[in-house]
Amino acid sequence: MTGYVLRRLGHSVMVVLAVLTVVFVLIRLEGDPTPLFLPIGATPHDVDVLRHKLGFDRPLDVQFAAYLDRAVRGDFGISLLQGQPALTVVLQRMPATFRLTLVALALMVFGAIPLGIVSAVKPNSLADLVGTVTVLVGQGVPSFWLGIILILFFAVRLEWFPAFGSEGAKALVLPGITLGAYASAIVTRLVRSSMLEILTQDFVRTATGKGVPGRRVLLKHVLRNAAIPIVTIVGLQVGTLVSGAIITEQVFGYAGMGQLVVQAVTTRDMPVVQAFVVVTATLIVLVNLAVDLLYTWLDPRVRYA
Amino acid sequence: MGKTRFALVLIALSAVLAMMAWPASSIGATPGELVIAEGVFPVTLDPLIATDQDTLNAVEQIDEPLVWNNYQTGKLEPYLATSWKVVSPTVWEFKLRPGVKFTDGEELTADVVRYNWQRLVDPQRKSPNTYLAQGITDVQVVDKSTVRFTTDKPSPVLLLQLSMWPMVPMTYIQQHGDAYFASHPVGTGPYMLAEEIPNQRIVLQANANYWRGKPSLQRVTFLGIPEEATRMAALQTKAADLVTLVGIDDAPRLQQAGFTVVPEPSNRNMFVLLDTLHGGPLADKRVRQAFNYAIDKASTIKYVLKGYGAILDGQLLTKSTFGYNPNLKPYPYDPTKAKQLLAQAGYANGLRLTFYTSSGHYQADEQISTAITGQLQNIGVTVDLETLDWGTFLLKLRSKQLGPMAFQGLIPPPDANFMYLNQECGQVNSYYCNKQFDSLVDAARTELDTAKRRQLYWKAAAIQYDDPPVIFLWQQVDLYGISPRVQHWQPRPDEVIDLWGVTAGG
Repeated sequence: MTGYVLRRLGHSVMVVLAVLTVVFVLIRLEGDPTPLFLPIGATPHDVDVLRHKLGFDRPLDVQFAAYLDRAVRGDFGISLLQGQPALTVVLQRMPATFRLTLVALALMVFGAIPLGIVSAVKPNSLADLVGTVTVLVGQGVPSFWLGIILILFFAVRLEWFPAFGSEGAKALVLPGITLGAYASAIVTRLVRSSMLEILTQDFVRTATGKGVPGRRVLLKHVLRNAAIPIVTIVGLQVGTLVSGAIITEQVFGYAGMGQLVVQAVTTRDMPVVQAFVVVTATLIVLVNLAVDLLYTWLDPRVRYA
Repeated sequence: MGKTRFALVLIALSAVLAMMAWPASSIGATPGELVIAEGVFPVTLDPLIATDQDTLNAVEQIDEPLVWNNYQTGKLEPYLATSWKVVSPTVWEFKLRPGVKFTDGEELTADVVRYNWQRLVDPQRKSPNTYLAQGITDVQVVDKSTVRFTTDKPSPVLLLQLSMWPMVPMTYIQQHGDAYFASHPVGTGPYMLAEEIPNQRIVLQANANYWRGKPSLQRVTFLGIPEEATRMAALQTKAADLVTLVGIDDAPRLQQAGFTVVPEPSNRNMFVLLDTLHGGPLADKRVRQAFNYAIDKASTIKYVLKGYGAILDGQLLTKSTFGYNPNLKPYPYDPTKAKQLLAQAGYANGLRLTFYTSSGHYQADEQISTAITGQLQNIGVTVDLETLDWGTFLLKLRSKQLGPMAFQGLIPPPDANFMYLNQECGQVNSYYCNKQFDSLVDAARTELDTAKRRQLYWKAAAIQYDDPPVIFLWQQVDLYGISPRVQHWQPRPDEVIDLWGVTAGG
C-alpha cells in the first residue's frame, strides 16, 4: 500500500515537472522572452537590464536550472499590472474560485449522481426523461450563454440572485450552476450507463434472488462497484471546472483566479499567466492523486496493483 | 405516462410560465448612495501608477489637481491653485488655496506640491505617468502657499498637465510608504475611502471637511464588471446606478426598461491609420485623399453604430480639444472623386493592402472595419482584413508593424500638442512625416500666446487635411446607463466621471 502511494506521489511530481518544462519551452518559442515580462512601453535599455537580471542571456541549461530553482520556491516573477509577486496574486484569488468549484462539485455530487442513479434504476420513466433532457442541455449549451441566460432570468427578471459579484452565498448559486452544468451532464450520463451495466450483472441478480431488499442491493453492491468510474469522472471534471471557471467568472464578474487570468492574458501580464498555469496544473495533479488514493479505499484489489 | 404525471408536468410548466411573466419588483436604494459599475475594477488608489480612466475615476474622487479642466468653456480654471502668472517664459508662479487640508489633517502647502513633482519623476518609482511632468525642470517653494514651476522651454501645456496631477499627501506617504498609500489613500477631495474589498468593491464616503462644501452624495461605490451583458444586468437589478460602456445594441432595451442612456461624444478620435513611411501607394497623398473620399461615414454610423458617432471635421481634433480648427469640414463621400484621384496617382487598376483591426476593443471595431473594407472595394481597392486580439494589436503598434492600414482610436489629453505627437517625424508611434507640419507643431510647442498657438494648430490641421495621415472617421460616442434616481450628472468627453452636484434619490 505504501509502495502504491509513494509511486503515485512520484508520478505526480513528475507531471508537475513536465508542466514546468512545457511552460519554460513555450515562453522561449519566439526567442528572447524578456519583452514578455515588461510592460508595453519599455525601452530597449529596460529590456537589456531585465534580460540580464532575469538571466535570460545565459545558456539554456543554466536558465532551466535557475528557473526550476525559482519555481520550487514559488517565484514566478512580479505581476506587471499589480506590482506584487505573481504567485501571491494568483493564490489570493484561489479561495474564491475554490468556493465556486465547491458549488459546482456539490451540484455534481448531490444533483448529477442521484439523477444518473434514478435514470438507470427507472429507465424510460419521467425521471429518466428529465435526466436525459438535462444531460442534453448541459452538454450542448455553451456556458457563456447559459450564464447570461441565468442572469437575465433569475437575476434581472426574478431578482432571486445577484447578477454578478463574489460577495455572499447567494452570489455563488448562478455561477456555480453555470460552471457545473457541463460537468454535471457528463457525470449524469456516465453514472447512468455505468449503473445500467452493473445492474445487468450476475451478482446483482444473485443478491436480488437471495432476497436482499432493493435499496440495499443498490447501495451496498451496485453503487460500490459503480463508484470507481464515477469517482474517476468526477475527478477528471475538476480539471474542466478550473478552466471553465475562466468563462464563468468573466461573465459573472466573479473575482476569482479565472477572471484574473483573463485580465493577465489581455494585458500580457506573463508572470501571472505563468503562475496560474503552474498552480492550476498542480491542483489538478493533486486532485488526480487524491482520486487515485481514494481507489484504494473503494476497491481493495487496487492496493496490489 | 399516467394522468397524475401529466398533470404534474402541466402544473410545473404553468409555474415556470407564470414566473416568466411576473413583473420584476423594485428594490429601493438608499438616497445619497450611488453605485458606479465600470468595465475595469480600479487597480490601485495611487495616482502615481493609475493609467486607465476607470481607475482614475475612483482616484480622482479622493485626490485633486491644482487646476481644473472645464471642457465646456475650454478653459483651465483655478482649483487647488487659486491663481497663477507667468513670471518669465519658463517660470510660472502658482498661489495655493489657503486652508485646504488632506483628510489626515495635513495642510496643502508648496512643499507638498514640490513633493508631488519629485514623486512623479522619481526614477526609482518608475511611474508610467512621468510624461505628465515632461518639460518641467524644477518646482520651487517660494513660501507656504506659493510655488514656482520652471520648464526647460516655454510650455503652454503646463496648465493642462497640472490638471492631470492628483495631489497626494507628503507626510502621510513618507510615514506609511507607497504600498500602504495605494490601499489607504488620503486626499483633499470630496470623498474618502470607507472600505475596499479587493477586486470587488471600493466604497467611498463623503469628506465632511471638503473645502468646496458638503458633497452631494454620502457614499459612492465603485464596481468592476468586465462583461457588458452583466454590467447591464447590474443596472437593471439596481445593483448599480450608473454604468459605463453600454453596448449599442443594448441601449434600446435599457431605455424600454425605464433607464436613461446618455450618449456623449468622447475625445476618442476613431480613424484608419495609414502607413506613409514605407513606400507603396500610401506614400502618395492622392491615394490617401482618395481613401478619405471613399468612406461613407454617415451611413456607416447610421447602420453599424445605430447613429452613435460624431463625424470628425477633417482633423484628428475634437471640438473640446485646444487647437481644433472650425474652418475644416469632413471629407465628403465622393467615390467618383476617389477613383479619379487613384487614377491620377497611377492606380486606375486598383491596389491591394492589408488592414488590421482589433475585435471587441473599440465599439463595433470589426463591423466598422468590414464596412470600410467594402467601401474601399467600391473604388477598386482590395483590402485583406486581418482581425487581431488586442494584445497582439498593441505589440504591433509599438513595434511600428501596424501598417499599411489599421483601425484605431486615440484619446490624448485635449490639446493638439498631444495628438500631434503621434504624427511627428521620428516619433515612437508615428507613421507620418511632413516637414511643414512638424515645423508648425514645434513652434506651437513653445508658444505661450494662446491666440498665436491656436493659429499654428489651425494651419497644422489644414496640412493634415490636405496630406492625410489617416482616414478621418468620427468621435466614438460613449454610452452611459443611469437609473432614474440619479440626477444632475453629465458625462464628459474625456471620460472623467464628475460627481459634483450629483444626487441619488430614493
